[in-house]
Amino acid sequence: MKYSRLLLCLLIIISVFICTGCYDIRELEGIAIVTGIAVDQTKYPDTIQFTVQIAKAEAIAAKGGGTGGDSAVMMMDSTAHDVIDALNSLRHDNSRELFLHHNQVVIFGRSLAEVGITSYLDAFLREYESRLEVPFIVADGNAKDVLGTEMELEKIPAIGIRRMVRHKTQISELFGNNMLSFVSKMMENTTSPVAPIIKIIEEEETKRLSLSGLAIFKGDKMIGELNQTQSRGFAWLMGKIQDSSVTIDTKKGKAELEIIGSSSKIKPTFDGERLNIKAEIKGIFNVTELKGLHNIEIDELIDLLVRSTKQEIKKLILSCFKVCQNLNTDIFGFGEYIRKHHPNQWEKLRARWDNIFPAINLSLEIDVTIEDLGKISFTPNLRGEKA
Amino acid sequence: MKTQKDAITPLQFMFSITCFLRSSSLLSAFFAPISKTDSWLVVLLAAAVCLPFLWVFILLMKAFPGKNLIEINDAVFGRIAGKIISAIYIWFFFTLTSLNLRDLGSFVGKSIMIKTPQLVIVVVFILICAWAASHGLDVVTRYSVVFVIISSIILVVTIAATTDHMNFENFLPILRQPPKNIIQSTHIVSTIPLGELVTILMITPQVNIKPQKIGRYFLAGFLLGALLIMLVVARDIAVLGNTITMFGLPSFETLRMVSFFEVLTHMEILFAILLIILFFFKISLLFYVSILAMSYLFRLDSYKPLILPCAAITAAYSFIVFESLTKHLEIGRDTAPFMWVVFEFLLPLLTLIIAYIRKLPKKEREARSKEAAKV
Repeated sequence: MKYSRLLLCLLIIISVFICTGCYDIRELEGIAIVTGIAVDQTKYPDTIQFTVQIAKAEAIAAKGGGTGGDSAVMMMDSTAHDVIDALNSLRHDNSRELFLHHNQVVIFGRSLAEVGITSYLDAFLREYESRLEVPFIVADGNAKDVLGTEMELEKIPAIGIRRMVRHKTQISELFGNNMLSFVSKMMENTTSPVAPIIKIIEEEETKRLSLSGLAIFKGDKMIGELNQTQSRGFAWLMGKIQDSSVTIDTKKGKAELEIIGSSSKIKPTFDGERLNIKAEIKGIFNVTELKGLHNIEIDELIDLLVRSTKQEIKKLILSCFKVCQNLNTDIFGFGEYIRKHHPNQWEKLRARWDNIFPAINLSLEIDVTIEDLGKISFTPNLRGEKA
Repeated sequence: MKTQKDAITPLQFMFSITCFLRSSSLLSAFFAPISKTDSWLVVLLAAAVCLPFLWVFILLMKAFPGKNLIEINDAVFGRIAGKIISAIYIWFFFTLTSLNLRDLGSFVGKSIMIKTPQLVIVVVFILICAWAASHGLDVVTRYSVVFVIISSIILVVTIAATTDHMNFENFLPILRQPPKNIIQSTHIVSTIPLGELVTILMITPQVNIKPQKIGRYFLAGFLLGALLIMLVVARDIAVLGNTITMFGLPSFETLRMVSFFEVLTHMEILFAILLIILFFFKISLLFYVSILAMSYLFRLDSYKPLILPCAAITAAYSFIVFESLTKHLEIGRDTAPFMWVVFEFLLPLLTLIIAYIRKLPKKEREARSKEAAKV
């Protein structure tokens, strides 16, 4: 009696392992793991070229860190009117089932982004298999080519691109994005979303990818871009930059300052028709390299560094702000900030926001702290020259 | 007519209420699109609105100790009217069971087992719930404590894991929407998860406690449950921000955002586990209540013969109760709150008023003391 119960329990436990589901069985040999998706415009109107990158599990296992041999990925594409249509034709024209859960990146071609993306994003939000924390990137040129660019160090390009984006976000979280944050910005009335731009750089014989700047969207259309320097200005104004450096070029020499941390506070003041925004920006730095700058007392040196750093930051921010005002794109979310923190004022401004933003008067108050001069406080030959 | 009265402890009772409410937090899509980023406040508002009605429930419990809802109906409205009202209540209980069953079926069918027919999922699930219900209330509610603890742990872990996606500015501006939206949303929250506690009136006679003390356990369970719902909604708003209005299952999307140093990623499986656990509890309790009510209505000796036929009916009913998930959300937003309010608030209030007019509890007590004197 005692044993029969035990036996029953055992039977139940064993049956869990034997009787797995039969409808949704998905063995590794039966699925094609999609690692990246690229969407491009075609020459026909309202038609997209939809490309998926599929990881070949066998090839990755066989290579085992070795070199040469087959590529670890394959690309498949189809042309259709919309995303799901394209996905289905790929699905049905394939020996294996597409498995979208592990998709790493979604890339849109520039020409498509300039036409408008809402109608294509919808499918990514709606599809049960797709995830919203996937980075959303705009390719400078053809998205398919970007996805197909082989990397030296990565077997699967899509994973490599994902890592590139992640690496970039160590400088500023604003340099990466994901579907959710992008869509969230799109849903805010006045904010213009941004997305990283990826570019193919052709060198002799080899090609490599580079994340260069940010694409600015107005509504769902890409209407401009920020280059690397301007993107830094964007990050500075939002107070979200770290782990990178600022180069200072003064008459007496050059210096390289590492950014330890930054923060910013926005204070809008309302002046009738005009809006003034005061941004208080704080940055903490370490000195990592000095070039020239001899014969200067340490206090003087720090004073010089602080002054020129402030100037540099100001230059970066203004270069970015000018671009955005010209495009009339509120990528900083000033409108959203006012909606959240000054709802009463917002009621008056919201209808005229498109006229207000280009005329915003931005004043900057920059506070620079230099914390550390590194292991040495003088450049070695400093004393020598003095003598 | 005596069905076996398996008793439960007051703590089980309290946690059952919490667990019952917690399982509804998964369906924030009913009200989130309406009150948007104020939804967490709406939960608190709804809880405050519900308090007077909870007081009505508690008064009913105290006025008719040892009687469940069906018996109270009989006593207050008389035999015929009481039976009609009870029959309507039973329809309400079955509808709730089927709605929840369908929710579970469509979630599992859409997100986990895509090709499996929903029939298989629903039938297997209702069979397990029926099996639990066949062992009595004690078995149904026994795990409520564990479930509340598991779900709270998962809640804490997921809050910790989504902190880098959280943005507390998402809550701003507070209450700057048209009051209509807030009122509508409050109405939905107070009827759909909170008011459904009227089902608890069916099991109060089986709680092993003096009627005078039951109120505080009821209230404690309610407040804890409402707090958990609020935390879940607040977490989802902090992570999803204004996009919370888009999703059918906001919590599911929130957990999809999790990534812990790229190691522990995509915790939506936790949501699936939680959903199945909590729905198991809710459906078995609702199912138990439905068949118990039925057995009282027909004056059966035991509810056990009803289990299998009713399970079959519930499974079938769950397929026709609404056409699609979208339709369900629409009903949940526009129709159900007004229908449910009748069962959850108006009928109990009416019962209480009539009972006071007829001075019923007093009579009962006198009758019982007379009976006792005779013996």
